[in-house]
Amino acid sequence: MSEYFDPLDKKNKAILDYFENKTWLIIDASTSTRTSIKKSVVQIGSKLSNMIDCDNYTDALNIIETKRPHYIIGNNTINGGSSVGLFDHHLKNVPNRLGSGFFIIADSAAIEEVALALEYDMDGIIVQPFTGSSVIDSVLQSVKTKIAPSNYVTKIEEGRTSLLKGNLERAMESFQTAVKLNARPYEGFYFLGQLYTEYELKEKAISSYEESVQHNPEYFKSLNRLRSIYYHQNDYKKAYDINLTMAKKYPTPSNRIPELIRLSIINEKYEDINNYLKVYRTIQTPETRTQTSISAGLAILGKYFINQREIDKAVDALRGSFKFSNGKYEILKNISQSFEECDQLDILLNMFEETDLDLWPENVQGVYFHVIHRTSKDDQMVIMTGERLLAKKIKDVLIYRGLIERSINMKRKLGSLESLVLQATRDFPDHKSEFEDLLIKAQRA
Amino acid sequence: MVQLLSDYIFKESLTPVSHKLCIRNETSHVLFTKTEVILIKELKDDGITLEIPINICQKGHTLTLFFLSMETGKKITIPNSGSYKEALFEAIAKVEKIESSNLSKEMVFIDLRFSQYDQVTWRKILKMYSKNQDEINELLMKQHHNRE
Repeated sequence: MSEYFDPLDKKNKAILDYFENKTWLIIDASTSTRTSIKKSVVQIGSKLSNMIDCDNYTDALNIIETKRPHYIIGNNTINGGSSVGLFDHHLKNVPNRLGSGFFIIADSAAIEEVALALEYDMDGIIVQPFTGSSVIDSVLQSVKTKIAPSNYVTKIEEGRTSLLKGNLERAMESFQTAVKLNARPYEGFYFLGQLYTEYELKEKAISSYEESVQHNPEYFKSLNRLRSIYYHQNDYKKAYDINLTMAKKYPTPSNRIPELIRLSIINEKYEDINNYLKVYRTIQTPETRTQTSISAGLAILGKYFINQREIDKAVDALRGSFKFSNGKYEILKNISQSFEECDQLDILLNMFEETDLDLWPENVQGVYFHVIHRTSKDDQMVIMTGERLLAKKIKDVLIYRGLIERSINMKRKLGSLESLVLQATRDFPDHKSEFEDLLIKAQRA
Repeated sequence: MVQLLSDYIFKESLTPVSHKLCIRNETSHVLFTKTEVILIKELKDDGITLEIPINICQKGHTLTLFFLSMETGKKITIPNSGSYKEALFEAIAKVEKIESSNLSKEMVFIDLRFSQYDQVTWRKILKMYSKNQDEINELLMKQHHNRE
């Protein structure tokens, strides 16, 4: 039982009244967890008979569409998907957010989930392991403004409901009225920005978001919209500054790391760029998704240092990128190009040889083959390696290219070369002219 | 001083509370130290709900739980009997319910009720997790602090 919520305390009557007729959907794989959450929700005034629970995505979606529960608490990990994917359906089916809410139960590594909740504007994140009081406190925290909404909040919600229903004119009226009802109408201007975006009035949308941030420099949603707009408009100075503002206040989702490194490079923030090299080494054991983002970021960094002819730093960054790549094909291909560009492919070859490639996806063999092809003087060995990969149905332009080039070196019979080119063209028709040019080269030799 | 993105983006602005958990089954004498596959789902006033691999315990079994710091290395050697000095908290608990998971055939959810434990330490652990939740709630709501 929550240490902070006493249902008998008179000051909590408004909360009990608010939740009295609210309906709930609880989604989790464990019956025990669902029961515990329901018990917690009963304490804040909801009736057990108004609660439905389920253990999978399909049932949850069906319940949202047929029963339209006001409130949802769902585990991030459920059979058939993630509860996060249900949020949009809940918004569409229950557009009045003053009387509804959506909470996610997430693992303790909650930084990504917090970023997600902010981005989607969910009502809260309940971190696993949770206690009964943490469920209650999270729900109560988010409903403060919903229980006794001001005229401003009511107008904003009216507008948001109209916007969700696609009634843009009515939404515009509500938001334009709302911004006059509050001294800091940051949400009103955010929604006006949304509306102008719908009307494709880009400049008006930007100035609305900017006005929103002037009223509240911490308002995540407007900051986030501006971040994206500035970046896509190539206004990189502003994009950098707004990303810095956000990074100071909120956790940065790892998937944005590559974009941020790119911004530092474009803005010529040399100290920043060198910092990334130092900082990545201090990261202990990031989650897989974080590792991939760091890897992509370091690959960008490596490329930058090559362009600056700072080869030691480039190699350092590229080594880091390889280490965190988890065998992501695109990243490895990119790294291989960079190593080749700075004439350091031997280093990459060593790293491949020290890695248990059975733990990585099969397609990385294509990149590995390419590195062997570019570093080995042994034509016969390269050809045998490539043919073995093709026999295992691992097909890659890099493998065909290497095989054709080595076959030309070895002056193999024209007939066998023609059949190799034919096979390569069949598998990769987009590369037809490249392969045929190689054949012509062989015919002339 | 010039402020830079690199000063912030790799920094974890939250300090999530977490423990590694080991299990000694006092009924079947099984020791389980693969902490990475034990998920703590829920903390109760006098018990806990876990997601663990199948075949570690059965309903009615008595288990000893060892809460360890996240810094504890991979090689954990819990004793066959008695206390484990590295543990931050120990509890003897009874398996009240076992439920299969639709997420994985290899995992089950178990409800445990503590029978012997240090209530003061347990309260402190509950408070730590609760504080962690408060921090997240605060992070989500701080953008509205200057709402009028």
